[in-house]
Amino acid sequence: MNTDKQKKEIAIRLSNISKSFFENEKEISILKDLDLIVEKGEKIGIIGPSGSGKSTILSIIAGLDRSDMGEVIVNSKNLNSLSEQDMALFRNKDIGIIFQSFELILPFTVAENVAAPQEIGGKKDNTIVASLLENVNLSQKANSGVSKLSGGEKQRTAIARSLSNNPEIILADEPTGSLDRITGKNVLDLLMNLTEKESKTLVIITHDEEIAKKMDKVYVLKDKKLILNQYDN
Amino acid sequence: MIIKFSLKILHKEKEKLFLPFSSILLTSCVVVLSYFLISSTSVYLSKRDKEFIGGDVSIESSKNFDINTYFPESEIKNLSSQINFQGLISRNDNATGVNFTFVDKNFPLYGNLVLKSGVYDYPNDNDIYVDENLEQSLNLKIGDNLKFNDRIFLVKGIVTQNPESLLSGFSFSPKVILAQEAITYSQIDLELFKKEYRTKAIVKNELTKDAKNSLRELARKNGARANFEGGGESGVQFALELVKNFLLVVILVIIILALVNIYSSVSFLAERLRRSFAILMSLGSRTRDIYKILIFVNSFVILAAILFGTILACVLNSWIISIVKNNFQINLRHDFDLTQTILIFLLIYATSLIATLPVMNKLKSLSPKELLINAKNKESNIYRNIFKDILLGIFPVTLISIYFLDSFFYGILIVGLIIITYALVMLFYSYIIGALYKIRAVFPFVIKLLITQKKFDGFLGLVTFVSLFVALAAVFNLSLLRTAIDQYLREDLRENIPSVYVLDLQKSQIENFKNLYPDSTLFPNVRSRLISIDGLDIQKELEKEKPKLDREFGREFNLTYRNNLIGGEEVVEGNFEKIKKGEVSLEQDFAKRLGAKLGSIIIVNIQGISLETKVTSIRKVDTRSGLPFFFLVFSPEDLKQYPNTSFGYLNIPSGDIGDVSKKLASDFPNVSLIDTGKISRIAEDVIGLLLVIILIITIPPIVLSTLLIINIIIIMSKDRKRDGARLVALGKTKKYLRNFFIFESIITLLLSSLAAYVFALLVANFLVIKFIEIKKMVYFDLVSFYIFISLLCAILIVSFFVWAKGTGSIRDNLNYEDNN
Repeated sequence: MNTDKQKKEIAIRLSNISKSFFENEKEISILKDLDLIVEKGEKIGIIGPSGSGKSTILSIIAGLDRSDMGEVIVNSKNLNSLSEQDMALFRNKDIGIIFQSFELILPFTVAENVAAPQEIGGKKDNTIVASLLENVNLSQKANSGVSKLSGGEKQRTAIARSLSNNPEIILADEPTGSLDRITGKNVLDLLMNLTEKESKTLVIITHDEEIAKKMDKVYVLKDKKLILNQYDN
Repeated sequence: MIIKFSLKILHKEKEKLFLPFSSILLTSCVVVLSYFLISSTSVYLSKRDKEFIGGDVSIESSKNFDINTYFPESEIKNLSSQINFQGLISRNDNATGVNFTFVDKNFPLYGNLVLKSGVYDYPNDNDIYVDENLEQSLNLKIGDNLKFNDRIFLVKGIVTQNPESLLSGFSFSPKVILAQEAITYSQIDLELFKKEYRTKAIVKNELTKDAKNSLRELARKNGARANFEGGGESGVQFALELVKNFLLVVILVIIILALVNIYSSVSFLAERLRRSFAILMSLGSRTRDIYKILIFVNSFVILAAILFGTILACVLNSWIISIVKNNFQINLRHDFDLTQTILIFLLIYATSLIATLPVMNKLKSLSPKELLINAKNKESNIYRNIFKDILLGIFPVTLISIYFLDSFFYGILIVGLIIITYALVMLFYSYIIGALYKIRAVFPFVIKLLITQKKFDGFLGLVTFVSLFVALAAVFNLSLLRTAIDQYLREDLRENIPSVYVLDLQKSQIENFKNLYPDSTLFPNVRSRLISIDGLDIQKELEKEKPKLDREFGREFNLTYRNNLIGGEEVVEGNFEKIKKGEVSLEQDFAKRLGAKLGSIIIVNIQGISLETKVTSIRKVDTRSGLPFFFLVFSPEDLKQYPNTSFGYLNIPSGDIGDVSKKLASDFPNVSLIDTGKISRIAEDVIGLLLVIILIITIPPIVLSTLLIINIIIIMSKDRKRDGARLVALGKTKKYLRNFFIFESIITLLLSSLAAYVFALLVANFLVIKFIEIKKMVYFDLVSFYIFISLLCAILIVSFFVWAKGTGSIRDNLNYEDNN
């Protein structure tokens, strides 16, 4: 009973989301009346062609961008009503983000990158950092500069960093996009294992249908809306 | 293909090219404008110097002489001779000391004598031209009578500009100009006056250094003095030289700043085009073609920028010249030298093009993939490239430096000093950042971020800091030098200056004079030549091609005798108080130059009689205090018996100077009186004008350094925005990042300012003492503080603007959405 009840708790709710961009003073609509519900602990994949707006959805969920219209509720917070300060706090505490191009802080070491969300939040715990580095098998490289790491190591650092503040939700934008097939598989397995272990909610943007198939649900972004895919698990 | 792609890049990337274009345009404008202003100021000062001397050369002697002793007639283009002396002139009951100049029909050789009304023509025997000083002090107008030696002279004109006075308008004592025939008319006994015969000449061919030295030597042998433009020893010529030396310092500063600016702009320009080149490379373009496109695009932007910059400089130059002429009566206009301007144009272009080479090197070492993902060079390549960059950079720097300084030696020396300064500051900065990086864990997040960013900036960070340091040090240096000169000219020069000087008092008149003015200080004055020092025959030594001693020691010196120290004097070695027969006291610098020590034996020749003395004390004197000073002071027992005149000063209230003048005119007609209050006021006006010139030429380096700082902020902003976006994704606000960006700019400015100020203090004081030869240290400079505050404001505004402009959404600054 309890497990069922928990599963029904909503982690992310997007209702009637619209988003447009302007290019050369011309309005280009990316998302229109888009809806999405992700339950807590659920793992979903979003696929779609390039330029369809997948990363825009992730940015809206992550609080990196705001929708033009609609309601965005993530971890019980209405993002459109948050101030800039509260939005920053939300990004720091409630979510962890993993980017295709890693987006590590280049001047920092591996350990400093993993500790960065904690330091930004004002509370650093070296034990957690060490444990996360061990989980991603990077303890040996804790004091290395991130520019010297391989692609796989960079993405493992990014995964550890996304878990640094123990957020409820992990958002990953093409996490294996910059990696070769084998490294990509390893990184994805690591991400799945860690989120599974901690019962995190995971949203992955991907092109790779094989990856998508490993998710609880897969949505396709088509005609500015999300449609639940036929190979729904 | 190359032209087609180049034009496409120029068209498509025009927004990215705008910043380097504007930066090079402004830099070229400032360099060309500085060249115009400095060369016209230099020409102006040389012209004034020549006019002040009265010819290309002026031979001056207390005895009449034949100019053909110095020049064969065939070498002389024009000649003018004068007789000058000081004397008193009166109108009704008012008398004043004036400088008499008896001229011939060729006067003036250079420049024009400008009158308040009418045109100057050669005066009749009883005509007299007076300057505005005398006009005011005796309330004169044209046609008034003036009395000199009981003969009446008619005022023929009021002189407003005399080319032989500094900046055409000033002289230190009132001047009158008369015809040489007026000497006979006035019935004076010339023997009573301490007169000077001067012959000025314009020569057909420019005098070489060797020719000048031979003339000096010949004049010395004949007991005369030869003066040339740029080699004068008078206070006025010293001031002109001072400003010329300052111009030289400004030139060096402008060279440094312009080069740093051009390098940073061109590097930025090429960096911005990297992605376009990467795409072309990935499509199969050869590296050689990429180079050609880079050179074509760069050349187009650089040439257009320099062309517009030069045009703008020409317009600004005309505007500044007209403002200076209208407000300060300084005419800086001179013939436009097209060849020189084209040469400057080509040098800037060559420098810009050479600055592209390091970027080409970088392109060569990168693969298209690395270019596209904006990868950094591998460590091993960085240092090799730095070395290549430095080697490539030295070449144009050296060329420009040699060209501007007009000296191969100084050009190389300055470049060497710049490289050493860069290297030392880089080492210092690396060491500090390295040390802070090691202990970064103890700092709060914001400081840790700052330290790690600075560490990670690597070579670019080093160059940025050092460039900022060099720019600020250069500007602070100029400002400190300006303050030192200002302080010296305005304050120190008149600190101890007495109210009046009294000249040419005869020995027979001293007792009466002392009875009238018991507080007066008088110094007996005996003229003599040095014969030997410790057995070294000075005159023979000076005949050698490369003598051990300064040629100055061949001239006549004024000796005095007394057994007390005067104000501004201090004994540094030996004992002066009991100076006895056969002993002499030397001035410290004089002794050093002569190679004399305590115990040295000096022989002087006074009117054919040799006097042997032993050095028993060395004195330090403030040579520019305004008080009389003597290099050699003897015991009264040694000199008293020789014929002498006296020179001295009086301290009296300014209201009494008129009465004293009248009294002296009636009792001592051969004695001259100089009111130093008038000198100070006139000197202040002269100084004011020189400082205007200094101010005008200090502005371009300040503009250049501001430009450099703005360039650096803009160049770094792209990386910082990207780093910032990562932090925002992790929970920082955009406001925090903006503040951090501004904080970083301010901290960089603060640290570089502090280091630059300390460095500038050392250099400025070294230049003040050794190069400009003002013995006055300067520690604080309000103008530097204002410059710092202005730069701080400029940085705040630019940082704010740069951060606000194009910040867009956070996603735009993250790599995955990067389309740049």
